Amino acid sequence: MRRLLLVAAFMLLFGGLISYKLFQIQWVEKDELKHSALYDNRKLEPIEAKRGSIYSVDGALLATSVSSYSVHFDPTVSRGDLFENEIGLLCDSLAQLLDRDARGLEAKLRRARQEKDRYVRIASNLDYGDYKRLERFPLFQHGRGKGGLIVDSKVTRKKPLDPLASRLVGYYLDEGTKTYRVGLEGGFNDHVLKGEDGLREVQRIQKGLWKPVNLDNTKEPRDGYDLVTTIHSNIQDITHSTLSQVLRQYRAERGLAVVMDVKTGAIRAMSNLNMNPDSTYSETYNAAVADLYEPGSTFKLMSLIAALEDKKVDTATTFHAKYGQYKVYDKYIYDSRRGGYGAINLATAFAVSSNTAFAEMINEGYKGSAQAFVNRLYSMKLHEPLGLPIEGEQAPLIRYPGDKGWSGLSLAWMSHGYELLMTPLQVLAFYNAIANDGRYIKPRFVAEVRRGNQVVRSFDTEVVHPSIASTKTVKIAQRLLADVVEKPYGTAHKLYDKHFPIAGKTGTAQINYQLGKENVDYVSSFVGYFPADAPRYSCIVVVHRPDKNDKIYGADVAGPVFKSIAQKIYATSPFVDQVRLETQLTQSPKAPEQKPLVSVTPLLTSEITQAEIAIK
Amino acid sequence: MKNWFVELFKGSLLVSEDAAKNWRFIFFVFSLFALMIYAAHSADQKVVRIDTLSKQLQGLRNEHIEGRRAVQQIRLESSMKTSLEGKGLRPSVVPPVKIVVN
Repeated sequence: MRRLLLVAAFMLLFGGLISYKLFQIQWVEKDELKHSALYDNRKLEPIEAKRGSIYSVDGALLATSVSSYSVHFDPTVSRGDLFENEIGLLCDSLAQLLDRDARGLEAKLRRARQEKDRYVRIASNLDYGDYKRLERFPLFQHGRGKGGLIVDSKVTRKKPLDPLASRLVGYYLDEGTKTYRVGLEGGFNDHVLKGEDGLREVQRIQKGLWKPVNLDNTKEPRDGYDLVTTIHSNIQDITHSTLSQVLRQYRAERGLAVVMDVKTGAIRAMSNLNMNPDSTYSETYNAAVADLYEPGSTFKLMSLIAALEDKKVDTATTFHAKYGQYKVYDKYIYDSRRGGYGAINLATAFAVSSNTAFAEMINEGYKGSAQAFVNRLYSMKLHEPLGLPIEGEQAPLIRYPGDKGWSGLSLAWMSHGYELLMTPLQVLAFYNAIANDGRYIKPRFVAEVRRGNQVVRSFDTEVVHPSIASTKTVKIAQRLLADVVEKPYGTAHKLYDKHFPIAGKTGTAQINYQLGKENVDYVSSFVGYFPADAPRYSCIVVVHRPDKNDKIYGADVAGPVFKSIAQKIYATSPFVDQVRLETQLTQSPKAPEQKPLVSVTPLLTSEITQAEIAIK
Repeated sequence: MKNWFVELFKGSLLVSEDAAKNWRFIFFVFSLFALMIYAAHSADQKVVRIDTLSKQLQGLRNEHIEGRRAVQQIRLESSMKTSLEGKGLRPSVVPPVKIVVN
């Protein structure tokens, strides 16, 4: 009985202790424990939204998110015999994969084992293929516990077609205090690519592993949309490789080439290459969008249209600059040909790119009414930026009489592309308007926003100006642009190909001319469209500072890039012939008298002509 | 009350004549405990499996993208031109003609 009472007393004491602890938990430590339960073992975890991918219009992947792997090694966990047997083989394999010295690596790992360093860096930013290979290397194949392999992964952005259109695709970087928005990644980050992160409540179940508390997320994530650009991977490749080859040939500082669809304004290729210190070229700056330059003779088209529209000249108007020089106050404007061209009409002046003729045309034509010239340029929207969806576009600079920097020389100098600044894309957009019968459309980089195969938003052609000039003026401009290539005296006649007509204008603008003759460098350019008779693509090529000891003219440096791009696009664009099969096979098709009658219906007459030329 | 304690410590709850119905209840309670433990472990296992599958899925996606990147690079005209130059092949200068039969 006493023993029973003793046990009961003990139980009572035990129960009392439990009650005391319960009281303590419930009342004394309540807040602390509640906080711990809510925040140490439970938390609201963000569910990262998947960033959308970027595609070319022909379905090639331009940018997407993939995992990259960092590999570390804990040399202390392996058994002695295993380590000794496999460390040499491991280092041989690593040396091959990472292009490192095998014996140096082995010495480093042995030292780390002796010094009990448990986190030796082996490699970082490995792609999946290399990581899977590394995972099967000797020693590493035994895993973390026996082999000492430690792997961390993180999501990174990859450009599978790098370096093609690398700068246009761009990147988005958020460093907390500052964000970097470059190209399409930056321009379409917030509302398209990024998506919206979700939230869910999770509970700790073991070290590093958490499980969701509820079936539903606190906030569902919304993955980013995919962006389909207007870039065509094959045209981009052709443009990139052709430009790169010419830049290397002329040891130019940098160059760019842009190809645009005449009717829709879709940019099919955009290449911006800059020379690196080791003389290689890479895409580090989107000069086509952001670089203001004096367009030189390629601006003569704008002057020509202004003068024709204001009826200051017609194609028969003759200019008489003597000895290839034209004097404005105490300054002279020279033609590139020493001695000039004598008396020439407007059409010839445009084809030979006479600076003196254009200076005379604008300076004399608008004498006393400089505002009229600038107003005409403004009416063609040449002073306005294009309003591109990516950051960095510079507004053109076309001074108005009375503005700072305007002088009595301005008209004459502006006539052939100096004292004014435009970006290459703005120049191209204007030439495209001429190819498009006067309809000035905005260049566009994006075709659609998609989720999977579903189109969320499509981007239509935006018209900047329905008609920048009268039909008559546009037709004259088209004819004169074709003459630049077609006429034997045209500055770009060496680009002439009777099977594939090109229209365009050369430009060889001087830079650093303010610093004296010996410091003058050149910007060679060619801008135009093809085929000249039924334009499909417009294109601009600008090469900055080609080697002065070699060729510098637009027709020699930039022209061949244009021609090569045009020819390759032409050669890779199939002609489509529709064939109608008209037959009444009532008997066996093997019967010799039942031959099918075939009639060919071409899509376009011009295509038949071109196909015939091609077949010949 | 005292008797109740004595009976409890004697274990008559488990061995008395009408203990069969107590045993049924005890089994029921223990079954519930076992079921609860099993469900908790099963949920944990599923979380681990989801984690493994997610990693596997990410791996396969990476593999797919790497394959696609390789194919895209090979398809480019510049790559084909370089690799076929040795065999005397070069890009055509005339466009192909596609015949669509209606």
